[in-house]
Amino acid sequence: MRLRDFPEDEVFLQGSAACQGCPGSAAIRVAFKALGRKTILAVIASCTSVFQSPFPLSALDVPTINMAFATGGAVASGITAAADRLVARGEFEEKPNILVWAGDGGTYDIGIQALSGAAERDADFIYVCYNNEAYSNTGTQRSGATPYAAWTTNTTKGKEEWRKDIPQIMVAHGVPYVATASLAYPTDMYNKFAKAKEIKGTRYIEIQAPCPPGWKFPSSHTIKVARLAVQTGMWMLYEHEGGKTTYSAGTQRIIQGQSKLVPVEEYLKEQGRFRHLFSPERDEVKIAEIQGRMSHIFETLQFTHKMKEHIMDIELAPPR
Amino acid sequence: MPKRKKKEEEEEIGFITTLSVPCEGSVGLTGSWRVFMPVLDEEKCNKCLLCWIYCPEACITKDIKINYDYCKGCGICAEECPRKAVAMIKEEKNETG
Amino acid sequence: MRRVETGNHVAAWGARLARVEVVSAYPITPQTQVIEEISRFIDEGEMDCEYIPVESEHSAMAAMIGSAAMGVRSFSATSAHGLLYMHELLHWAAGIRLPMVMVNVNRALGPGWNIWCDHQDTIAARDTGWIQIYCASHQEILDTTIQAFRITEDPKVILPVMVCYDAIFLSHNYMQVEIPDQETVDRFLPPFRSLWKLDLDYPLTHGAVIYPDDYEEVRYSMFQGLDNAREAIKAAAAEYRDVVGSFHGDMVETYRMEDAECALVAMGSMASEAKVAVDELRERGYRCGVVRVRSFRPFPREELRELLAPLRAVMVIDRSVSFGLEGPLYSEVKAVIYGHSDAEVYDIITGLGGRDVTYELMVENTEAALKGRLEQETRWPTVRLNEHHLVMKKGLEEYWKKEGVR
Repeated sequence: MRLRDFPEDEVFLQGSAACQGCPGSAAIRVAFKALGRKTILAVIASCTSVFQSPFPLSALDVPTINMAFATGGAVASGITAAADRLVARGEFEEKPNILVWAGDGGTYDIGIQALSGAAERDADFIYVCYNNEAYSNTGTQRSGATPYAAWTTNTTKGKEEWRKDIPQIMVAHGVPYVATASLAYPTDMYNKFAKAKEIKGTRYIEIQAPCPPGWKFPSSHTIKVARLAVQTGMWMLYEHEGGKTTYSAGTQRIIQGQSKLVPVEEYLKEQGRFRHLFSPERDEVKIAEIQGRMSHIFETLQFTHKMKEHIMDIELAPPR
Repeated sequence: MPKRKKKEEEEEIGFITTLSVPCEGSVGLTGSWRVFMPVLDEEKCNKCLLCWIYCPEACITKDIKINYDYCKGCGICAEECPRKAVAMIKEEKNETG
Repeated sequence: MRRVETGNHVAAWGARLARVEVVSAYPITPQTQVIEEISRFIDEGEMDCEYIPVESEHSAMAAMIGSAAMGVRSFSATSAHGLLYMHELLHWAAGIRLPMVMVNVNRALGPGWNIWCDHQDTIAARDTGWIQIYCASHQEILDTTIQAFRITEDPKVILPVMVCYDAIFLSHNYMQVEIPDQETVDRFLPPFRSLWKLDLDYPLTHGAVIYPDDYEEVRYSMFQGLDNAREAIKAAAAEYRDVVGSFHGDMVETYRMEDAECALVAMGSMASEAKVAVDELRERGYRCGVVRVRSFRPFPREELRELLAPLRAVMVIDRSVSFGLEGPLYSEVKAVIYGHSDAEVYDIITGLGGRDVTYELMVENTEAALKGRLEQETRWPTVRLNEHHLVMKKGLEEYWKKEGVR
């Protein structure tokens, strides 16, 4: 799939309340290019609840229900069950896509129960977590997705814990499709949505969403920061389906040796939320810790990749 | 003593709920947010479509026409263009915008 | 078809006869038999419905909102802590203006775990915008569940309905019921309708940000909807009587009120017991009657004003408490007759946590009121310390002595 083959139709209507450089609106554009208009959308409390603009005008040109914070997996379960009834009754010729659009808050933390329940039931819908690694809508407080050492308004000295890994938690639920995506790799993102569209059951796609005001970088750098995240290993691109993990795009190139892993510093120093690691003095310990983890993950994956030819065709899930 | 308002005099407002209608410019002419505006040098442009797909506001068309009514001037198009065909120019605006 | 069933089972029958298409519910004692029976109906091919075994009550309500938004008849069931767990979404379900029906088995709240009857759970939800109807018999549960769909889908209402009935007394006991056939119910209940839905041909967004300049009208519209529900409740009850045959009152149900000088006011199964109390009081020469509040929301303002205002005395029996004030039914009764009546109004709070409410208790207290021996205030006549309380007190006193707390 190439950019020129992407449909021109826009479901996201310009003139919205989104911040300059917003990754959320950028992501929702690409998602809908692949999914199309025959989509029922549930927006879970997040920036998207606000950037779609206030009553009575909407920047979203598909039937949309805004819902409370903890409800993503649950409201989708109700919508998809009702849609099945409407198909059975002949009111729908074809079942539409059902898309939940939630942030990391509504997925990693307050929404994890409903998501887990829906996944265990293999409810038929696509769940998207657009992950800006904090509770951005309420002013950038920490979430379970906030990375180690990141500043937020309630981790002002840098978060002490490493983040959760919801994609791997979804893999552990045994759902038919799990994928991670990046704004900097739009054709990869499109392909993942196009693939998810054709699968039945609970499909989970997580998109890293670098947030200019929350991560503190200029609004023109959203895509650049997203790209660096992949190039340094801080965001890994992969798919998991049929019991198999396949790495994608920039991540795959690092594992297969076509690109070198960029030092994580290149990513960290682009963002004001990591400024305390460099100023007034460099925190060599923390930078080394983060780099150490990235190096460990990729050395392991590079090694197992080389061994594939000799041992067996297996791709390891991302190590911790 | 002021006349007491009867219940019947309260407006019959019918069914009102938080339903919104889709439309462009849902929050107004967001072009007014800009400080810098992107200007395309068509000679340099090779229609790679990266600016089109990266624009968070969907205000660049597929044939690379920028809608200045809504462009917020984020600068992603200029930053990402591999040909450096987009320049961010400071706009001349009067103070009242 | 005549059967002997539990209240929970007939609630399931109500959902089945109403041709519900999606049920989302989480088990909680003493509601479990509602969803077990629905599951059995579905598995045995007797009900054409999707059952979503959600992982919590909050999710049950979220799923019901989702299916209602798709334009499909939706149902849930819960009780006590389950109702409380979904409290946030009770407000959402009313505010989203879609038809929904849920039964709630009225059970006491913890801590301590108490699975027996009182009304605290639904009374705590009285401001959510839900219509609340309290049943006093198994037949009424079945009939009201069906009527509820008619009420919630009325275009002048479009607010969710909670059908409430007492834990154990009604949920678990067996009583004889007349179950109407599907054809008859189909004549009473038209196919699902609502005023908006998630429609691929006409995209709308519900629930975006709304500013102070716009919000009040949304709430006022709900307020009017609840007001319109009065007519809808009366019409549903009347038409159900005409088409199906049974009737349990509409906003209220009365007993021996025609020549009454005094009324007992209560909700749920206690009101049936009150009829026995009234017969005894009449034997003793007091012209008493019962006014059972059937619709608690909307509150039967006109009906209570008409029935109670001319009386000499009213005895309210509350099965819940508004801490820091008084019995909630007491407050509300006084509120609607204020300025219209010289009646003395009394209140007892009793029956909490399933404690038995006897007709003797009602007779004793009403007689004392009529003889001028009581203050017009909330009293707790069945509160008394027993051996268990003394064990607890002793244990705590030992702890205080040990820890030097006192």
